[in-house]
Amino acid sequence: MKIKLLTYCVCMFFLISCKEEEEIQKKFQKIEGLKIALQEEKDHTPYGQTQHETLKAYFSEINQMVLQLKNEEKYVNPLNSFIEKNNLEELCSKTLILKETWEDIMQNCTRNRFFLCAEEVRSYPDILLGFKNHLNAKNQETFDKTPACKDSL
Amino acid sequence: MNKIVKLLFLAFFLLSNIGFSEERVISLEEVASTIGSKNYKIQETALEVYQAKESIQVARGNLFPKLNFFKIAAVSLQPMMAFAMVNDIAPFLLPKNWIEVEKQKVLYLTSQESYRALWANEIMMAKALYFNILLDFSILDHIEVNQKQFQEILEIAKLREELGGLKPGSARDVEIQILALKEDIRALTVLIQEELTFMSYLLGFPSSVEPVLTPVLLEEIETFEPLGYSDFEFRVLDSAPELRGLHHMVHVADLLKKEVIFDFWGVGTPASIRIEKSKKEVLKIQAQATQEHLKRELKILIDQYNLNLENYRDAKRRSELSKISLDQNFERLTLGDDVTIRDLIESSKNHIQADTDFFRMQYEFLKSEDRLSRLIFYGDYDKKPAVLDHLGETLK
Repeated sequence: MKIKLLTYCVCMFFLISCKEEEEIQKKFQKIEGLKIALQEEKDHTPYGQTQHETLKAYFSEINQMVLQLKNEEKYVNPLNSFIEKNNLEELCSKTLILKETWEDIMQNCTRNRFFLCAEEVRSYPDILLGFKNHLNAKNQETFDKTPACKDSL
Repeated sequence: MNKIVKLLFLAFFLLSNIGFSEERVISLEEVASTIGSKNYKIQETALEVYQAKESIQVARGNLFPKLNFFKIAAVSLQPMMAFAMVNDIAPFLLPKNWIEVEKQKVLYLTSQESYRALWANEIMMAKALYFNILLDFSILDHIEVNQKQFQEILEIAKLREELGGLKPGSARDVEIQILALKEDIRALTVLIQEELTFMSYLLGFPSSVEPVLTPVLLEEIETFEPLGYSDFEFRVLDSAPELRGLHHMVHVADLLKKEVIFDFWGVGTPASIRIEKSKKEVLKIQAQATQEHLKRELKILIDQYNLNLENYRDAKRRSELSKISLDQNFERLTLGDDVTIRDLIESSKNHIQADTDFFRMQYEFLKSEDRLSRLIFYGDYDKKPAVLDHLGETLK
């Protein structure tokens, strides 16, 4: 009886954790799609409604993901295991933008002393740092060694 | 740089006459951070700034049209100079009782946005008061310089009258103008004192402490480019708490179990509105109206900003040219050339006119820039009020 209960608990644990990993995978897929849209729009200057909305959608999604990690501890381990199972370099290059690109966007968002894009755009470096802080030591090390990841910070 | 030293000197001179026992030098940034750190959960705290605004507006409105300076120099009194305080960006909802906010969890987001709007308006008004005081210091400084110039002209006029080169009574006319300017100096000194007292009150200084304002640097303006309306529209609508508050309200309208009372603050007299389930459509219309109001406000502000930017360069040049002309007339006079008193008075008036326009333009520009920052929640307005964060934590 005890063994059955233990097996049931272990199965439940894996099922729940799989569900969260699946959610994380979906999030990364969504961010990937939003990044493609951003790449298409980022050079259309001066930014109009479409460009602003595209930028906001991408940066907000990353923002939301990090907020979720901060507020709900249960997503941290599945995130790390998801990263370990996937190629981090590919993941970073598909979902993150390089710091250089972000700086260009920031420049296009500025007129005289005003910042005109969504607030989420400005906080990208902080958000990314927040994301990195939720990685375990091993993943953080890989993050720091991988050009596509570290050059985004 | 010379102007900054002059302004600081003038401030110290005024304070020594007023008799405050202690002075504290403050900057525009400090005003924004001090006002921004206040706790506006208590409505009375918020009302302090609004009341200060009203009082100063009345005091300026009473004094400025009466100043002899404007008549003497034939400077047109711009409405901005007398009634230069700012109004709120757009009407916003304000819960009748902040204390109840925490109980009304469902309305938390609306209350949060209302709080943000109120908080930002308070900062905007305090900054406007700061700009007003600097403008008044500049006008006072200018009247004093002008009075000295007239004094020099008076000496020349007296001498020429004695020698018979001038019709009798000319010197007397100049003296009348000097006396009128002296009267202005006294009146303006009292107004500045009143404004400083309010600033001190807003900053929570003891009554014995008088703030000494640091001048704002304006050199950068010349490098700025005109702005376009479409560049700003997204950010305005994306960040406006007045609009976000109403959107939250539309979302929770169906969830409301009991009637909740909010005030509409901002433009005109606050009017209570009751928000309940049946008012959802009204809220949607209100959100639409607020959106249009914000767009209109943005359009006006962008036009004003661009106009001020364009005028700034011209006004600066005008001021420089009129100064050259005045100096030349004095120089010619010293060299014994035939310069009439009328010419001297005329060039002095031209210079006052140009200079007054120039510094008025500077403060108008700063105000329109600050109002735009408030509209897009940038600069001093992008820092979230501390109390709000705390409020958020207690609700989790």
